[in-house]
Amino acid sequence: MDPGTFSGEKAAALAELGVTRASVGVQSLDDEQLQRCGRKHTAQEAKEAIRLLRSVGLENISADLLSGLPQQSEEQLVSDLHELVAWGVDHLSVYDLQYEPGTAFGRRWPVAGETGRPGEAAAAALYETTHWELEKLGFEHYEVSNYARFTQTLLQGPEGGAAGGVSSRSQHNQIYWHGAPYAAYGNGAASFVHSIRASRPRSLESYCRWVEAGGPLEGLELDTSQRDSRADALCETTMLRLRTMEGLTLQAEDGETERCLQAIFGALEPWQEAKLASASFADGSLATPYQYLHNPEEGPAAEQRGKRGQGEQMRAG
Amino acid sequence: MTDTSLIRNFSIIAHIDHGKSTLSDRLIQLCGNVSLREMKEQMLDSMEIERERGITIKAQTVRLDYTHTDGKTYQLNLMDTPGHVDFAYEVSRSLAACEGAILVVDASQGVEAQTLANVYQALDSDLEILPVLNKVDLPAADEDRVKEQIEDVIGLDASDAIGVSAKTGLNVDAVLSAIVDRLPPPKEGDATKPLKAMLVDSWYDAYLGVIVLVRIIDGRLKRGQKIKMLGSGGLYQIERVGIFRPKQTIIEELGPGEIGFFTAAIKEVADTRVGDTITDEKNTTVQQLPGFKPAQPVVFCGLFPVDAADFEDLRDAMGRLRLNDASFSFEAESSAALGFGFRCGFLGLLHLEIITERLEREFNLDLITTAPSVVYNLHMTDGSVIELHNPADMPETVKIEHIEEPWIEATILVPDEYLGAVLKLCQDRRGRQKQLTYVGTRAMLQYELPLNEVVFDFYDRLKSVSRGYASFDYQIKGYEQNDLVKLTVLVNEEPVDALSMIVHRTRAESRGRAMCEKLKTLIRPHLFKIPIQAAIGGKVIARETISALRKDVIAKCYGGDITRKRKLLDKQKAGKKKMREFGKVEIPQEAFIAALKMDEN
Repeated sequence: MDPGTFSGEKAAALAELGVTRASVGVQSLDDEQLQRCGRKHTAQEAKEAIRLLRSVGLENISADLLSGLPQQSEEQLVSDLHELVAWGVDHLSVYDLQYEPGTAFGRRWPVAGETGRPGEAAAAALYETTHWELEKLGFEHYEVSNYARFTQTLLQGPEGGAAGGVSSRSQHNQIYWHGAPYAAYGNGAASFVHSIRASRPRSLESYCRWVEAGGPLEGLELDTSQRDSRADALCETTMLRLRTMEGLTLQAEDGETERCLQAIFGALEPWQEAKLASASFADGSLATPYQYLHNPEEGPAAEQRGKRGQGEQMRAG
Repeated sequence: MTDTSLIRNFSIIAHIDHGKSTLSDRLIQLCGNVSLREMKEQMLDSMEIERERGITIKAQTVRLDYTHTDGKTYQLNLMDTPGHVDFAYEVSRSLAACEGAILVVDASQGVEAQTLANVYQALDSDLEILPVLNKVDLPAADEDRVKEQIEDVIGLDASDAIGVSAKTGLNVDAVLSAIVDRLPPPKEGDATKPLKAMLVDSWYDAYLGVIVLVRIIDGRLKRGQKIKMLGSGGLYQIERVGIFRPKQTIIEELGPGEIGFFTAAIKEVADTRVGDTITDEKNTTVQQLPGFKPAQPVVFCGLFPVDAADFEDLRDAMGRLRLNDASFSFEAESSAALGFGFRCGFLGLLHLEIITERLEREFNLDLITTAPSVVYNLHMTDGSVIELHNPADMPETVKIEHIEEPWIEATILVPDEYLGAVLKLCQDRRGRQKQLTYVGTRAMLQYELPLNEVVFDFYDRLKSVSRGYASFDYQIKGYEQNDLVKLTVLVNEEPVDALSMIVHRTRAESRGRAMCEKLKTLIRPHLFKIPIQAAIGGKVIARETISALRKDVIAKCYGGDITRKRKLLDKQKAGKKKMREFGKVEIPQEAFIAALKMDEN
């Protein structure tokens, strides 16, 4: 939620509804930075929001941060991470800011590396810094932009993560990346039921009208590609699983799928060659276990980004 | 068949836009052959592209019947000549069919470079020249000044130059009169002698097959006659004889001094040679007319289909174009980078542009054009001489004794304030100044330049530095030996054939650097860093590096993002079709064209 528009009453109301986890849109703990980005809250308000949540018994808190903001320094980012962790936040979503053309950010800072917007290398460095800092602070980097506090225990944790620990991974988000079904509420929200992704009307007004009309099928924007095509479904699974720490493990059930897996394996070759990913394909089984790899040939400063290597450049299908 | 003394064969020469076509239209109109509506279509310009660009490519002729003040009816044969230097040979043959020429000069613009080139050709052909000043109705017209210019620059007596406005028709009848009074009739020919005719031009007509334009010197030409062409060796039987009015009109026969056309079941335009001599099949006495030359391509380029599947279509399209253009040559070629395509020969850059434009437009083909290159003569150490058309084919330097490249003589007219910039451009392109004079406030430069420096966007740069005011014309001068080397471009340490070129050693570094810089902007980053190098032999003379990709992922991917993300991937997949794999590097199609269009500064 937005810390600028939060209050004790809202917190209490949420708790009463039975909400057990909240995600706070912090973005940055630098007030100047927040202003520059047109945010309506301050670092203090973010801190207060978290305190209010705690006070009503909502302990499971995640914070959103942005890296790659205009004029953002590494020191500031590191300090923000440390501060949030110190406030007891168990989960962080740190997003590399996308300057999309047609958006306010895209218009104001159109060129990477110019007028304060970090260049590609600088943005990549901030991403890496986030990883290493949070690792030191005991977080596991379990998805491209998501980090969860991981506590080593002697017992098997009920929520998943590596054996022998308790993780604060977002169960909600993991559903997206594991292709499981989910319902949706709110304007613009998308549900995924019976392999059909259905988006609700985008503007608040049209959403309300749709709800009042009884939520008819015609009002939804449908994507049936997963239901109608095995290749599409496979492509989507691959795309999403490669965002996660566990990567992709697929077993072919017939000749056709085996050929698809072969194609995926082939597509990963450039990344393998660049030592950014590791994959194996044997007996119809494809596995790409997560490794955050270092390529010593590139020098100590240039650590490779395994996550990115397992990212979105898929040519399968 | 008309008495020679009543015939006048003439051509109109002018710079682009000075009104040649308009004047032709007026003359045709005055002689009463065509309606006003047909006039509007400027029937002498048949091809759409010609019409668009306002230029004439194919020489055609119109026969006009003019009743003079002396009461007699004269046969006026108007030859429409190609205006552009690329077609100099065609122009020379059209002119050889005439005895006179009307020189049209825009009275507000004055003499231009192209005017000069064509006039010199006419003078070389011993034609009587009738100066006509056009657009005299414009406020900027200054007849006296232009007459003086004509006398000073061309050395032609312009005191009797006729002032007209072709657009309004003002005084055009005086031109007709002058044609009869001041231009000579054809030299007396003998109708009883064996046929001797010059092949002025030929083209393909959808209904009639190949149409041949001829000028009869001796003898007669009529239906059923059996003829032979001395240059090509072809034997044919005449089917039809006719003239253009401008519409095709069949007649009985053509006699000495006359110009007309025939058809003879000739399959391809390539079977005919401009300037060839036509005589009776059985004749043994008639000799080849002087001035005959086979078509000589001067500029080459590689043409490749963007989509490999279009190769057959491209081949068919080229075949069809060739039906009407014997001077356009092509042969199959393959390139590691671009796949299967053709190496094509043209008479010049305009010719190249016209052909490629027609291929893209009329036949709907997406093409990659490699850099235009010229023909080099390689003198080998073993004594042999090889013509090099494709830089990628250059043999090892140890085997080459020396290399010769073609040079041109250029005439450039430019207003004084841009002279400095133009001089610099010519010097940069290894030019040698031959003469600098003034024509009014304009400088006239005569410069010798290597052709390979000109085919590389020289004309565009010239226009750019002179704000469009410079005019440019050239003639091939001959071959000269020079220190020429092959510049190779390597991407990720692999040579890219399509980008190699022959350059002068002194230009190699700047060209190489420009190429590397350009490629760096055209090839997107990959997972590894990509070195881009320009080299001569084994030595690297310029390099750039494309850094490895640092990040390439979408930060957020939840719910609705997923569909959006899928659409993005689909778009990327479509984009990949336009990429060529080059070792481990993907190079987009456009990169090849863009890299070759470098503008250096």
